[in-house]
Amino acid sequence: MKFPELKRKTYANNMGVTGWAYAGRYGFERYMYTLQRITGLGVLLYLSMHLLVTGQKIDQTRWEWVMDLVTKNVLPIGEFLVFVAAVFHALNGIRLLLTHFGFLMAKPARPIYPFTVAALKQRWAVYLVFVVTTVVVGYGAYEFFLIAQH
Amino acid sequence: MRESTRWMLHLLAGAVMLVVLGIHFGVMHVGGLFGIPKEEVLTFASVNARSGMEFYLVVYLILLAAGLYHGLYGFRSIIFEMSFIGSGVRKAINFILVLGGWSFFFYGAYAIIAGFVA
Repeated sequence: MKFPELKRKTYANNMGVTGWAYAGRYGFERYMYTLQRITGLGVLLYLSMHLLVTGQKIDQTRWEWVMDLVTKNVLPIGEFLVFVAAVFHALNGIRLLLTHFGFLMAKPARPIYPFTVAALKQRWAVYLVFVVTTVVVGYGAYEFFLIAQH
Repeated sequence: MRESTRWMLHLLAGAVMLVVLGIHFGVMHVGGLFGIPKEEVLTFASVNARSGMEFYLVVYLILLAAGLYHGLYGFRSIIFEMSFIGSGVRKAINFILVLGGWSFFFYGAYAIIAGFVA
């Protein structure tokens, strides 16, 4: 007797990068995951450029030339966007670290109706990330744009 | 090295960066927090003076190593999440990232140590 070919019922991350934008009926944490990756890539790109810029500090002429270059036009706005990305990435990273080690997770329980959504147990931490990010970014904006003008 | 060890190092580097990047932000962007006026922080004299201190030598070497490891391991994780990448390509990506990471580390460490010695 010949057995019918077994078909794979699951696929390893078949959505790939497109799943970052829309991954179906996932919760809000899925979009935090996307933001964590986008901000991480932005900060990594900045880090490589920042290394090349700060590497000029061993020579005064080169340092003054490169500082003159990076403090003009739209570059300070770009630097502020990197600051926003870094703050969000760090605060959400703390949330992920705590979740990873089980501190924000719900305790295991029997699935008895009405079912509770485990992710909702840590939703407050998601909101806290946004609140603290807003406060820190607000202070950063004050430092970047108001104090820097004077 | 096992993948779980690499992942734990990624988390550790992230936690270390919270401290050293916090110091870096405090020095560079929060006026007067470390006793350096904001308008002077990017002048060559101020940068040169900080470069000669042991405290900043240690902070910036740790920041460089932790930042590169955390960033490049995170980048590698993002690439490897794309399931269509085969094992040969993965090996090539590993090689490129390790080579790039060490190159950036030596470049950054040279600038930090040269600034300290000068």
